Amino acid sequence: MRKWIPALVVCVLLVYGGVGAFAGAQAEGAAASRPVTLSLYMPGPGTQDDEEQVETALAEYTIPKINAGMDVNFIGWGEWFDKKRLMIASGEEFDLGFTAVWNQFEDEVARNAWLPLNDLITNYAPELYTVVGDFLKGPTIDGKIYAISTVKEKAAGGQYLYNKKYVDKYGIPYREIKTLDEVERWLAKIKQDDPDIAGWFMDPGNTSLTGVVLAYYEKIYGHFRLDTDGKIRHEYHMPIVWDALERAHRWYKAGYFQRDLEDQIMAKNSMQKLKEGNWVFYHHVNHPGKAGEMTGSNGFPIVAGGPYKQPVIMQDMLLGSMFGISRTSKHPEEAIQMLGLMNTDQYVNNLLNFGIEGDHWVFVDEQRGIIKTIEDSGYAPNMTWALQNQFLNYLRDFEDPEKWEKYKAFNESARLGEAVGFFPDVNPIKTQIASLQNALEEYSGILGAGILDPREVKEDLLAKLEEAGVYEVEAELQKQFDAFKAQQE
Amino acid sequence: MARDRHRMKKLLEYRQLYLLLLPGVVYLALLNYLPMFGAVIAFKEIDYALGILRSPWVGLKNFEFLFASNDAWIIVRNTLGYNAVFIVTGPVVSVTLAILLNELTNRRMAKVYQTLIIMPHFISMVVVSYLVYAFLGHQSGFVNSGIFPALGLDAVKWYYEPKYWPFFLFFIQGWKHWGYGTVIYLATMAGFDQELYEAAAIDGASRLRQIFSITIPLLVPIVIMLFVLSLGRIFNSDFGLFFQVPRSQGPLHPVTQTLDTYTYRSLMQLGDLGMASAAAFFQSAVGFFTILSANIAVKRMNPERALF
Repeated sequence: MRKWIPALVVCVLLVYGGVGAFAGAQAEGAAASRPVTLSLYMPGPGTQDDEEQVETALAEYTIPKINAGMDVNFIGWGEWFDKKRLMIASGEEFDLGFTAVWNQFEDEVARNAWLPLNDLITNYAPELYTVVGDFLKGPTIDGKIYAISTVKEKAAGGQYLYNKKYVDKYGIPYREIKTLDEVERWLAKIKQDDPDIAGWFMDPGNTSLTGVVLAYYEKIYGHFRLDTDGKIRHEYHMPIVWDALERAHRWYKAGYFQRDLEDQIMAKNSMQKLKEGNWVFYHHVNHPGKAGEMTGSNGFPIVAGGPYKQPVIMQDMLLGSMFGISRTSKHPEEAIQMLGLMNTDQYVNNLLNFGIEGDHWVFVDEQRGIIKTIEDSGYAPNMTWALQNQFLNYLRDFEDPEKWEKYKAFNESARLGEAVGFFPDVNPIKTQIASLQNALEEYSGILGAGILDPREVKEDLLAKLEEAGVYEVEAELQKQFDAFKAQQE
Repeated sequence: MARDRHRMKKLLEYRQLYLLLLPGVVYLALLNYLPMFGAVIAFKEIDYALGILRSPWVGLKNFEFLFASNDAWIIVRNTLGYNAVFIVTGPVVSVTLAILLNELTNRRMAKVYQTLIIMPHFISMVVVSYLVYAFLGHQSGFVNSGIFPALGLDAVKWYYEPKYWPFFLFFIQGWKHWGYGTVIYLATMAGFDQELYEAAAIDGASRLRQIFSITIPLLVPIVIMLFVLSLGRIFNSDFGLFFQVPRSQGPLHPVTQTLDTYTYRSLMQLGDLGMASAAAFFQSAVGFFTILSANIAVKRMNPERALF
């Protein structure tokens, strides 16, 4: 009899724990009868305190229109990539999911994670064709539309961004600087007078000089770009890249970068270092208002030089931020209608972006749609670039009031990239891509930051690439691209 | 018939114990045995719409990338080499430490040392990687900015010099894991029959003699068992140790690249489930054959010491 008690207790406790976990999962999955509650998953700063309030307000507005409300889930950036992969791989039921070219979109389409939307749009939300328009060319593969892109800046390229404090100090004509040679001359001058700051803020992810020179070249897949002569090349097969690497090394030795660059790379804290403001030159994407956004996130004035070449409409821009409807969704019709609302209804769009008027923001100028967000309000996801049709967004008071007009002009000034709509099938070259990925890891970070002398590693690196099969990949991509071009004519 | 009745009787007699065993068995069945069917993913091209069962077979294609790299030799050398060193030196150091701790007369201090030795085992490798970085950081690390200047030596770019890292990794691995082995051997030693030692002392054996003639021979069975078990992970590696601790710095790849880090780096962009499964399958398959072979070898030498 004595033996029973402990045995039973342990057994019951363990079973109870296990069943508890199961029951919790089941309860969540219990279907709502009518009306429908859609589920939306996207990356962001994590769950917002007032999320439920916003969802209630949203449901009040949308249920009369489309008989559906929505449960919004902001998943923290740290977990987003893995969580989404897991949700899709395990066949979890959900309706709307964020995706992008930099977030496994092509892989997801290849594995049938998203529903083709052509019929859904035609039958339930035809306004999407007009409003989203050209942007739909991006997520269209073999004639099927797999996601709805966010309407924002279409074109890409790069621009130089400047810390205004030093622009004023040295009188840098920031609107006129267009080449790295000019930048170099200024860096030399700055080094003499301010030897302790970083003339050029080196962040291998964003401001490597290779990134700068390749800013206007279209990306075909991974590190393979479309060169000016119509040929697809690996970045390390392009002479301008090696010039940039040598320049980066020169700048590194001359001390134009941050003094503790190596530690920064290892500690991966570039964004914090940027906020410290001990730098002059930066380089990033060139859409209007970028300077305003950076000023907002860093806390001190930053000005922009503007595009220094004609902006190009690149595949990546049309695929930079999209929502797809999961194959596992039980309510695709309501889902596409909700996307329709997010793209055409100003109230819905701004409710999701900024929250409830009065609680989370107030109008400064209702006519022109300028608002002021309330600090520490409980709802501030700051994901305007991800929540569809930015032209509906209200502008915050520190932004350029003419931002959307400028965006329109910017989009129109661009030329259409040749590789837009081209989705290479990488299955035949999977093995080589895996090998290449590994070969590059060894060098790319510190080489791009100028720490290594490119002349010492060039031969070795090119040999490694060749062994990994880089020429085969180039040939295969070229073959598919030429076929794509021929088909377009 | 009689045997069946006998079995039923035993089952009923020990029913409480079987009940206690039940959750563990269910756990193992659900989480260790059932998922084995997923091994087929290594031989398929996964399509989310078709699911695992209906996705197409692709034979051995997913395994190609493991052998395609010109680094294949380095990867195998590193993985097996480090594991060989760890598997051999681990027990040697742990047993020595356990014996030393056992000889201490102040039992309270012995407990304190034991706790201190095993503590690193519970620290995540990611945290350890930052501790190491605090020492070896090029500009801000304690060595380069504190110790070396005091000794009049120039700063060394630790993360760009591969030659020091086999020693660093050996030491860090040991610091983290020797304590765990020590505690296991100490626990084993606590179960030894003290009469053996008393009899030896009466016969005039010195403490040292007792250690070599009683303690160590009695420890041999468990050392062999743990040794054979660890052989099952001969192609695996501690990802935290080989990726996080060297901060994934490129120049160190020749001495820190193992099969696990190679798989991770190759597939980060592709995200191919089949290829990743193939790598894991390969590791498990080789580990399995290694354990089988080792067990057969042990059985030949000393049948009662074999694992199964």
